[in-house]
Amino acid sequence: MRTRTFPAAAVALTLFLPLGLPVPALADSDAPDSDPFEPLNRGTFRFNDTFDIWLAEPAASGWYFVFREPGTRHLGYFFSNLRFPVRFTSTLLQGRVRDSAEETGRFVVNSTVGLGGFFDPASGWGLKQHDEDMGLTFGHWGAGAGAYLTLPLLGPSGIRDGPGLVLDSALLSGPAFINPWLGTGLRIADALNRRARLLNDAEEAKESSLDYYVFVRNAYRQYRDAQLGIEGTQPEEDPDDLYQIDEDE
Amino acid sequence: MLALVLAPTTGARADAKSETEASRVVGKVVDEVIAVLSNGELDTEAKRAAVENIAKQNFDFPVITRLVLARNYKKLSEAQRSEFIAEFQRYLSLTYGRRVDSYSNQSIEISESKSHKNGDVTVDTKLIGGQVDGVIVAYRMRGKNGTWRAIDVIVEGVSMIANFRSQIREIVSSKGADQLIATLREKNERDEAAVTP
Repeated sequence: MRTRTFPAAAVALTLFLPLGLPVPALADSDAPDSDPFEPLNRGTFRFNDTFDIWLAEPAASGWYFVFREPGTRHLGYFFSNLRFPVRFTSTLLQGRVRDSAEETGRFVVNSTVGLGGFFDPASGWGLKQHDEDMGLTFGHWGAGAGAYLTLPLLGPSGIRDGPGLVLDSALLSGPAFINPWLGTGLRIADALNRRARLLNDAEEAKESSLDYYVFVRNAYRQYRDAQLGIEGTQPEEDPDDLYQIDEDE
Repeated sequence: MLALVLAPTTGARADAKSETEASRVVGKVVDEVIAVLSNGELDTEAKRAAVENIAKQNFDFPVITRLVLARNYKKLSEAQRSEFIAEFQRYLSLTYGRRVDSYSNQSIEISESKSHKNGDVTVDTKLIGGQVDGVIVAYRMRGKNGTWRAIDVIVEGVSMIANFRSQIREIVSSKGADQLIATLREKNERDEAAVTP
Protein backbone atom coordinates (compact mmCIF):
# COMPACT_ATOMS: atom_id res chain seq x y z
CA MET A 1 0.00 0.00 0.00
CA ARG A 2 1.39 3.36 -0.92
CA THR A 3 1.23 6.18 1.56
CA ARG A 4 0.81 9.60 0.07
CA THR A 5 3.58 11.70 1.48
CA PHE A 6 2.33 14.87 -0.11
CA PRO A 7 -0.65 15.69 -2.29
CA ALA A 8 -0.46 16.06 -6.02
CA ALA A 9 -1.24 19.72 -5.61
CA ALA A 10 2.22 20.24 -4.19
CA VAL A 11 3.83 18.89 -7.34
CA ALA A 12 1.45 20.82 -9.55
CA LEU A 13 2.06 24.04 -7.65
CA THR A 14 5.76 24.01 -8.42
CA LEU A 15 4.99 23.79 -12.10
CA PHE A 16 1.64 25.54 -12.49
CA LEU A 17 2.13 28.59 -10.27
CA PRO A 18 4.52 30.27 -12.67
CA LEU A 19 1.75 30.03 -15.23
CA GLY A 20 -0.67 31.67 -12.83
CA LEU A 21 -3.19 28.83 -13.05
CA PRO A 22 -5.42 28.30 -10.01
CA VAL A 23 -4.90 24.99 -8.27
CA PRO A 24 -7.88 24.35 -6.01
CA ALA A 25 -7.45 22.30 -2.85
CA LEU A 26 -8.36 18.85 -4.12
CA ALA A 27 -8.74 16.50 -1.21
CA ASP A 28 -10.12 13.37 -2.80
CA SER A 29 -9.01 13.95 -6.38
CA ASP A 30 -6.77 10.89 -6.37
CA ALA A 31 -9.77 8.58 -6.50
CA PRO A 32 -10.30 7.09 -9.99
CA ASP A 33 -13.81 8.47 -10.37
CA SER A 34 -13.15 11.92 -8.97
CA ASP A 35 -13.54 14.55 -11.67
CA PRO A 36 -13.86 18.10 -10.34
CA PHE A 37 -13.37 19.59 -13.80
CA GLU A 38 -15.83 17.28 -15.51
CA PRO A 39 -17.76 19.83 -17.62
CA LEU A 40 -14.52 21.30 -18.95
CA ASN A 41 -13.06 17.83 -19.50
CA ARG A 42 -16.13 16.61 -21.38
CA GLY A 43 -15.88 19.62 -23.64
CA THR A 44 -12.25 18.97 -24.45
CA PHE A 45 -13.08 15.30 -24.91
CA ARG A 46 -15.74 16.15 -27.50
CA PHE A 47 -13.23 18.33 -29.31
CA ASN A 48 -10.64 15.55 -29.27
CA ASP A 49 -13.22 13.08 -30.54
CA THR A 50 -14.18 15.36 -33.42
CA PHE A 51 -10.51 15.81 -34.30
CA ASP A 52 -10.08 12.05 -34.15
CA ILE A 53 -13.09 11.25 -36.32
CA TRP A 54 -12.26 13.79 -39.01
CA LEU A 55 -8.46 13.87 -39.02
CA ALA A 56 -6.56 11.41 -36.86
CA GLU A 57 -8.52 8.23 -37.59
CA PRO A 58 -8.63 8.62 -41.38
CA ALA A 59 -4.93 9.49 -41.44
CA ALA A 60 -4.13 6.51 -39.22
CA SER A 61 -6.20 4.24 -41.46
CA GLY A 62 -4.17 5.39 -44.42
CA TRP A 63 -1.00 4.80 -42.44
CA TYR A 64 -2.12 1.27 -41.57
CA PHE A 65 -3.08 0.62 -45.18
CA VAL A 66 0.52 1.37 -46.16
CA PHE A 67 2.44 -0.24 -43.35
CA ARG A 68 0.10 -3.05 -42.17
CA GLU A 69 0.82 -5.36 -39.27
CA PRO A 70 4.53 -6.12 -39.43
CA GLY A 71 5.30 -2.58 -40.64
CA THR A 72 3.46 -0.78 -37.86
CA ARG A 73 4.92 -3.16 -35.31
CA HIS A 74 8.50 -2.41 -36.37
CA LEU A 75 7.77 1.28 -36.56
CA GLY A 76 6.48 0.87 -33.03
CA TYR A 77 9.81 -0.60 -31.95
CA PHE A 78 11.60 2.27 -33.69
CA PHE A 79 9.61 4.98 -31.89
CA SER A 80 9.77 3.13 -28.63
CA ASN A 81 13.55 3.02 -28.92
CA LEU A 82 13.60 6.79 -29.37
CA ARG A 83 11.81 7.18 -26.05
CA PHE A 84 14.88 5.87 -24.28
CA PRO A 85 15.74 9.27 -22.68
CA VAL A 86 12.35 9.32 -20.90
CA ARG A 87 12.60 5.77 -19.56
CA PHE A 88 16.26 6.19 -18.61
CA THR A 89 15.75 9.47 -16.73
CA SER A 90 12.59 8.25 -15.04
CA THR A 91 14.06 5.00 -13.75
CA LEU A 92 17.18 6.81 -12.59
CA LEU A 93 15.17 9.47 -10.73
CA GLN A 94 13.21 6.69 -9.06
CA GLY A 95 16.45 5.26 -7.76
CA ARG A 96 16.19 2.16 -9.95
CA VAL A 97 19.79 2.14 -11.12
CA ARG A 98 19.76 -1.43 -12.39
CA ASP A 99 16.63 -0.77 -14.47
CA SER A 100 18.16 2.35 -15.97
CA ALA A 101 21.24 0.32 -16.87
CA GLU A 102 18.99 -2.28 -18.45
CA GLU A 103 17.30 0.47 -20.48
CA THR A 104 20.71 1.69 -21.62
CA GLY A 105 21.64 -1.82 -22.67
CA ARG A 106 18.38 -2.11 -24.61
CA PHE A 107 19.01 1.17 -26.38
CA VAL A 108 22.52 0.22 -27.42
CA VAL A 109 21.59 -3.28 -28.57
CA ASN A 110 18.43 -2.32 -30.40
CA SER A 111 20.00 0.70 -32.09
CA THR A 112 22.87 -1.36 -33.42
CA VAL A 113 21.95 -5.03 -33.72
CA GLY A 114 18.31 -3.96 -33.97
CA LEU A 115 19.06 -1.89 -37.08
CA GLY A 116 18.31 1.60 -35.87
CA GLY A 117 15.68 0.41 -33.43
CA PHE A 118 13.33 -1.23 -35.91
CA PHE A 119 13.95 -4.60 -34.29
CA ASP A 120 14.02 -5.64 -30.68
CA PRO A 121 16.71 -8.26 -30.15
CA ALA A 122 17.28 -6.93 -26.63
CA SER A 123 14.05 -8.49 -25.35
CA GLY A 124 15.14 -11.86 -26.64
CA TRP A 125 18.38 -11.43 -24.74
CA GLY A 126 16.50 -10.94 -21.48
CA LEU A 127 16.70 -7.14 -21.29
CA LYS A 128 13.25 -6.02 -20.19
CA GLN A 129 11.66 -2.70 -21.06
CA HIS A 130 10.52 -0.53 -18.14
CA ASP A 131 7.64 1.67 -19.26
CA GLU A 132 8.36 4.62 -17.02
CA ASP A 133 7.78 8.32 -17.53
CA MET A 134 8.02 11.48 -15.45
CA GLY A 135 4.38 11.31 -14.35
CA LEU A 136 5.04 7.89 -12.84
CA THR A 137 8.23 9.25 -11.30
CA PHE A 138 6.20 11.92 -9.50
CA GLY A 139 3.89 9.12 -8.42
CA HIS A 140 6.77 7.13 -6.99
CA TRP A 141 7.90 10.19 -5.10
CA GLY A 142 4.50 10.25 -3.42
CA ALA A 143 2.32 12.45 -5.61
CA GLY A 144 -1.24 11.21 -6.00
CA ALA A 145 -2.85 11.32 -9.41
CA GLY A 146 -4.66 14.58 -8.63
CA ALA A 147 -7.64 15.92 -10.52
CA TYR A 148 -8.42 14.30 -13.85
CA LEU A 149 -7.73 16.48 -16.88
CA THR A 150 -8.52 15.87 -20.53
CA LEU A 151 -5.81 17.57 -22.54
CA PRO A 152 -6.44 18.91 -26.04
CA LEU A 153 -5.31 16.29 -28.57
CA LEU A 154 -3.24 14.47 -25.97
CA GLY A 155 -6.25 12.98 -24.24
CA PRO A 156 -6.53 11.66 -20.67
CA SER A 157 -4.09 13.07 -18.17
CA GLY A 158 -4.18 14.86 -14.82
CA ILE A 159 -2.62 17.29 -12.43
CA ARG A 160 0.32 14.97 -11.85
CA ASP A 161 0.67 13.43 -15.29
CA GLY A 162 0.26 16.69 -17.24
CA PRO A 163 3.49 18.29 -16.00
CA GLY A 164 5.03 14.84 -16.41
CA LEU A 165 4.20 15.00 -20.11
CA VAL A 166 5.83 18.42 -20.37
CA LEU A 167 9.04 17.05 -18.88
CA ASP A 168 8.90 13.95 -21.08
CA SER A 169 8.58 16.22 -24.08
CA ALA A 170 11.64 18.18 -23.03
CA LEU A 171 13.61 14.96 -22.66
CA LEU A 172 12.54 13.87 -26.14
CA SER A 173 13.48 17.03 -27.94
CA GLY A 174 16.87 15.67 -28.99
CA PRO A 175 15.99 15.21 -32.67
CA ALA A 176 14.71 18.79 -32.74
CA PHE A 177 18.25 20.04 -32.17
CA ILE A 178 19.24 18.39 -35.41
CA ASN A 179 16.33 19.88 -37.29
CA PRO A 180 13.03 21.22 -35.88
CA TRP A 181 11.05 19.64 -38.71
CA LEU A 182 12.63 16.30 -37.89
CA GLY A 183 11.54 16.59 -34.29
CA THR A 184 7.95 17.49 -35.15
CA GLY A 185 7.78 14.97 -37.99
CA LEU A 186 8.86 12.15 -35.72
CA ARG A 187 6.26 13.07 -33.13
CA ILE A 188 3.48 13.11 -35.68
CA ALA A 189 4.63 9.84 -37.20
CA ASP A 190 4.77 8.24 -33.75
CA ALA A 191 1.24 9.43 -32.98
CA LEU A 192 -0.07 8.16 -36.32
CA ASN A 193 1.59 4.81 -35.85
CA ARG A 194 0.14 4.40 -32.36
CA ARG A 195 -3.30 5.41 -33.55
CA ALA A 196 -3.01 2.96 -36.44
CA ARG A 197 -2.22 0.07 -34.11
CA LEU A 198 -5.30 0.95 -32.05
CA LEU A 199 -7.82 1.35 -34.86
CA ASN A 200 -9.96 -1.66 -33.99
CA ASP A 201 -9.63 -1.36 -30.24
CA ALA A 202 -10.59 2.30 -30.18
CA GLU A 203 -13.63 1.66 -32.33
CA GLU A 204 -14.66 -1.28 -30.16
CA ALA A 205 -14.30 0.75 -26.98
CA LYS A 206 -16.35 3.59 -28.38
CA GLU A 207 -19.05 1.29 -29.74
CA SER A 208 -19.38 -0.83 -26.66
CA SER A 209 -19.13 1.67 -23.84
CA LEU A 210 -22.20 3.14 -22.19
CA ASP A 211 -20.44 6.44 -21.55
CA TYR A 212 -17.27 6.67 -23.61
CA TYR A 213 -15.91 9.65 -21.68
CA VAL A 214 -16.19 7.79 -18.36
CA PHE A 215 -14.80 4.63 -19.93
CA VAL A 216 -11.64 6.49 -20.98
CA ARG A 217 -11.31 8.36 -17.69
CA ASN A 218 -11.67 5.25 -15.57
CA ALA A 219 -9.49 3.04 -17.79
CA TYR A 220 -6.74 5.67 -17.84
CA ARG A 221 -6.79 6.12 -14.07
CA GLN A 222 -6.80 2.37 -13.41
CA TYR A 223 -3.98 1.86 -15.88
CA ARG A 224 -1.78 4.54 -14.29
CA ASP A 225 -2.51 3.14 -10.82
CA ALA A 226 -1.59 -0.33 -12.05
CA GLN A 227 1.69 0.99 -13.46
CA LEU A 228 2.46 2.38 -10.02
CA GLY A 229 1.50 -0.89 -8.38
CA ILE A 230 -1.54 0.64 -6.70
CA GLU A 231 -4.47 -1.72 -6.42
CA GLY A 232 -8.05 -1.03 -5.62
CA THR A 233 -10.39 1.86 -6.20
CA GLN A 234 -9.99 4.05 -3.13
CA PRO A 235 -6.80 4.41 -1.12
CA GLU A 236 -8.58 4.03 2.20
CA GLU A 237 -10.63 1.02 1.20
CA ASP A 238 -9.43 -2.51 1.02
CA PRO A 239 -8.94 -3.33 -2.69
CA ASP A 240 -11.02 -6.45 -2.14
CA ASP A 241 -14.00 -4.20 -1.34
CA LEU A 242 -14.55 -3.77 -5.05
CA TYR A 243 -15.62 -7.39 -5.00
CA GLN A 244 -17.77 -7.38 -1.85
CA ILE A 245 -21.47 -7.62 -2.29
CA ASP A 246 -23.38 -5.55 0.26
CA GLU A 247 -25.51 -8.16 1.89
CA ASP A 248 -27.44 -5.74 4.10
CA GLU A 249 -30.68 -5.00 2.32
CA MET B 1 -1.29 -23.25 20.73
CA LEU B 2 -1.66 -26.17 18.37
CA ALA B 3 -4.29 -24.23 16.43
CA LEU B 4 -1.85 -21.33 15.96
CA VAL B 5 0.78 -23.66 14.58
CA LEU B 6 -1.63 -25.46 12.27
CA ALA B 7 -3.64 -22.47 10.98
CA PRO B 8 -1.00 -20.79 8.77
CA THR B 9 0.02 -23.99 7.04
CA THR B 10 -3.52 -25.12 6.33
CA GLY B 11 -4.22 -21.60 5.08
CA ALA B 12 -1.29 -21.76 2.69
CA ARG B 13 -2.18 -25.25 1.57
CA ALA B 14 -5.79 -24.26 0.99
CA ASP B 15 -4.60 -21.27 -1.05
CA ALA B 16 -2.36 -23.43 -3.18
CA LYS B 17 -5.17 -25.89 -3.77
CA SER B 18 -7.58 -23.10 -4.78
CA GLU B 19 -5.01 -21.56 -7.08
CA THR B 20 -4.41 -24.87 -8.80
CA GLU B 21 -8.10 -25.48 -9.25
CA ALA B 22 -8.85 -21.94 -10.45
CA SER B 23 -5.94 -22.09 -12.92
CA ARG B 24 -7.18 -25.43 -14.16
CA VAL B 25 -10.63 -24.00 -14.85
CA VAL B 26 -9.18 -21.00 -16.69
CA GLY B 27 -6.99 -23.30 -18.77
CA LYS B 28 -9.94 -25.49 -19.62
CA VAL B 29 -12.11 -22.56 -20.67
CA VAL B 30 -9.30 -21.04 -22.73
CA ASP B 31 -8.85 -24.34 -24.56
CA GLU B 32 -12.59 -24.63 -25.23
CA VAL B 33 -12.83 -21.09 -26.55
CA ILE B 34 -9.79 -21.44 -28.80
CA ALA B 35 -11.18 -24.71 -30.14
CA VAL B 36 -14.38 -22.91 -31.12
CA LEU B 37 -12.64 -19.86 -32.60
CA SER B 38 -10.24 -21.88 -34.70
CA ASN B 39 -12.93 -24.23 -35.96
CA GLY B 40 -13.12 -23.42 -39.65
CA GLU B 41 -16.39 -25.27 -40.09
CA LEU B 42 -18.41 -22.93 -37.90
CA ASP B 43 -19.76 -19.66 -39.23
CA THR B 44 -19.63 -16.44 -37.22
CA GLU B 45 -23.05 -16.86 -35.69
CA ALA B 46 -22.37 -20.44 -34.62
CA LYS B 47 -19.05 -19.40 -33.09
CA ARG B 48 -20.68 -16.53 -31.25
CA ALA B 49 -23.39 -18.79 -29.85
CA ALA B 50 -20.86 -21.41 -28.77
CA VAL B 51 -18.64 -18.87 -27.02
CA GLU B 52 -21.69 -17.34 -25.35
CA ASN B 53 -22.56 -20.76 -23.98
CA ILE B 54 -19.08 -21.27 -22.60
CA ALA B 55 -19.26 -17.80 -21.04
CA LYS B 56 -22.63 -18.49 -19.40
CA GLN B 57 -21.23 -21.57 -17.72
CA ASN B 58 -17.99 -20.01 -16.59
CA PHE B 59 -18.84 -16.45 -15.64
CA ASP B 60 -20.96 -15.82 -12.57
CA PHE B 61 -23.43 -13.33 -14.08
CA PRO B 62 -25.57 -12.75 -10.99
CA VAL B 63 -22.48 -11.79 -9.00
CA ILE B 64 -21.12 -9.68 -11.85
CA THR B 65 -24.40 -7.80 -12.12
CA ARG B 66 -24.44 -7.08 -8.38
CA LEU B 67 -20.83 -5.91 -8.49
CA VAL B 68 -21.28 -3.48 -11.38
CA LEU B 69 -24.36 -1.97 -9.79
CA ALA B 70 -22.75 -1.73 -6.34
CA ARG B 71 -24.68 0.72 -4.16
CA ASN B 72 -27.05 1.42 -7.02
CA TYR B 73 -28.47 -2.06 -6.62
CA LYS B 74 -30.44 -0.82 -3.62
CA LYS B 75 -31.76 2.12 -5.61
CA LEU B 76 -33.36 -0.09 -8.22
CA SER B 77 -36.82 -1.57 -7.77
CA GLU B 78 -37.39 -5.30 -8.25
CA ALA B 79 -38.70 -4.70 -11.74
CA GLN B 80 -35.76 -2.49 -12.64
CA ARG B 81 -33.30 -5.05 -11.33
CA SER B 82 -34.61 -7.87 -13.45
CA GLU B 83 -34.77 -5.60 -16.49
CA PHE B 84 -31.20 -4.50 -15.87
CA ILE B 85 -29.91 -8.05 -15.45
CA ALA B 86 -31.54 -9.16 -18.69
CA GLU B 87 -30.32 -6.16 -20.69
CA PHE B 88 -26.82 -6.25 -19.20
CA GLN B 89 -26.34 -9.92 -20.01
CA ARG B 90 -27.54 -9.32 -23.55
CA TYR B 91 -25.16 -6.36 -23.76
CA LEU B 92 -22.14 -8.38 -22.62
CA SER B 93 -22.97 -11.20 -24.98
CA LEU B 94 -23.33 -8.85 -27.97
CA THR B 95 -20.27 -6.78 -27.13
CA TYR B 96 -17.86 -9.63 -26.61
CA GLY B 97 -19.53 -11.88 -29.13
CA ARG B 98 -18.66 -9.36 -31.84
CA ARG B 99 -15.02 -10.12 -31.28
CA VAL B 100 -15.09 -13.75 -32.41
CA ASP B 101 -14.17 -12.63 -35.88
CA SER B 102 -10.99 -10.92 -34.84
CA TYR B 103 -9.32 -14.13 -33.71
CA SER B 104 -6.32 -15.01 -35.83
CA ASN B 105 -4.46 -17.91 -34.29
CA GLN B 106 -3.21 -16.20 -31.21
CA SER B 107 -2.39 -18.48 -28.34
CA ILE B 108 -2.88 -17.94 -24.64
CA GLU B 109 -0.43 -18.80 -21.92
CA ILE B 110 -1.60 -19.30 -18.34
CA SER B 111 0.90 -17.80 -15.96
CA GLU B 112 0.68 -16.87 -12.28
CA SER B 113 -2.19 -17.03 -9.91
CA LYS B 114 -2.72 -15.09 -6.70
CA SER B 115 -5.03 -15.70 -3.76
CA HIS B 116 -7.01 -12.88 -2.18
CA LYS B 117 -8.11 -12.42 1.42
CA ASN B 118 -11.70 -13.26 0.64
CA GLY B 119 -10.83 -16.53 -1.07
CA ASP B 120 -10.95 -15.31 -4.67
CA VAL B 121 -8.09 -16.27 -6.97
CA THR B 122 -6.80 -14.10 -9.80
CA VAL B 123 -5.29 -16.10 -12.66
CA ASP B 124 -3.01 -14.29 -15.12
CA THR B 125 -2.97 -15.18 -18.78
CA LYS B 126 -0.79 -13.76 -21.53
CA LEU B 127 -1.85 -13.31 -25.12
CA ILE B 128 0.70 -14.38 -27.68
CA GLY B 129 0.76 -13.33 -31.29
CA GLY B 130 -0.85 -10.68 -33.46
CA GLN B 131 -1.37 -7.09 -32.46
CA VAL B 132 -2.17 -8.07 -28.88
CA ASP B 133 1.11 -9.87 -28.29
CA GLY B 134 2.25 -9.67 -24.70
CA VAL B 135 -0.99 -8.31 -23.29
CA ILE B 136 -1.82 -9.66 -19.83
CA VAL B 137 -5.45 -10.60 -19.26
CA ALA B 138 -6.28 -11.70 -15.72
CA TYR B 139 -9.43 -13.46 -14.54
CA ARG B 140 -10.65 -13.10 -10.99
CA MET B 141 -12.21 -16.40 -10.01
CA ARG B 142 -14.60 -17.01 -7.17
CA GLY B 143 -15.24 -20.53 -5.86
CA LYS B 144 -18.73 -21.48 -4.72
CA ASN B 145 -19.30 -25.04 -3.57
CA GLY B 146 -16.22 -26.21 -5.38
CA THR B 147 -17.15 -24.59 -8.71
CA TRP B 148 -14.91 -21.75 -9.87
CA ARG B 149 -16.35 -19.01 -12.04
CA ALA B 150 -14.96 -15.72 -13.27
CA ILE B 151 -16.28 -12.54 -11.71
CA ASP B 152 -13.96 -10.02 -13.39
CA VAL B 153 -11.63 -9.61 -16.34
CA ILE B 154 -8.61 -7.38 -15.77
CA VAL B 155 -6.76 -6.25 -18.88
CA GLU B 156 -3.30 -4.78 -18.24
CA GLY B 157 -4.40 -3.75 -14.77
CA VAL B 158 -7.77 -2.32 -15.82
CA SER B 159 -10.69 -4.10 -14.15
CA MET B 160 -13.78 -4.37 -16.29
CA ILE B 161 -16.01 -4.46 -13.21
CA ALA B 162 -14.51 -1.22 -11.91
CA ASN B 163 -14.82 0.38 -15.32
CA PHE B 164 -18.45 -0.61 -15.86
CA ARG B 165 -19.25 0.37 -12.32
CA SER B 166 -17.98 3.89 -12.88
CA GLN B 167 -19.89 4.25 -16.15
CA ILE B 168 -23.08 2.98 -14.52
CA ARG B 169 -22.66 5.16 -11.48
CA GLU B 170 -22.26 8.23 -13.67
CA ILE B 171 -25.37 7.47 -15.72
CA VAL B 172 -27.54 6.64 -12.70
CA SER B 173 -26.48 9.75 -10.79
CA SER B 174 -26.93 12.13 -13.70
CA LYS B 175 -29.86 10.59 -15.56
CA GLY B 176 -31.41 7.95 -13.32
CA ALA B 177 -31.85 4.19 -13.33
CA ASP B 178 -34.53 4.15 -16.01
CA GLN B 179 -32.23 5.96 -18.40
CA LEU B 180 -29.49 3.42 -17.68
CA ILE B 181 -31.79 0.58 -18.65
CA ALA B 182 -33.03 2.49 -21.68
CA THR B 183 -29.46 3.17 -22.85
CA LEU B 184 -28.62 -0.51 -22.54
CA ARG B 185 -31.75 -1.54 -24.37
CA GLU B 186 -31.16 0.89 -27.26
CA LYS B 187 -27.59 -0.29 -27.59
CA ASN B 188 -28.66 -3.91 -27.61
CA GLU B 189 -31.33 -3.34 -30.23
CA ARG B 190 -28.85 -1.50 -32.46
CA ASP B 191 -26.22 -4.20 -32.05
CA GLU B 192 -28.65 -7.03 -32.71
CA ALA B 193 -29.86 -5.33 -35.86
CA ALA B 194 -26.26 -5.06 -37.01
CA VAL B 195 -25.63 -8.75 -36.43
CA THR B 196 -28.70 -10.16 -38.16
CA PRO B 197 -28.23 -9.84 -41.95
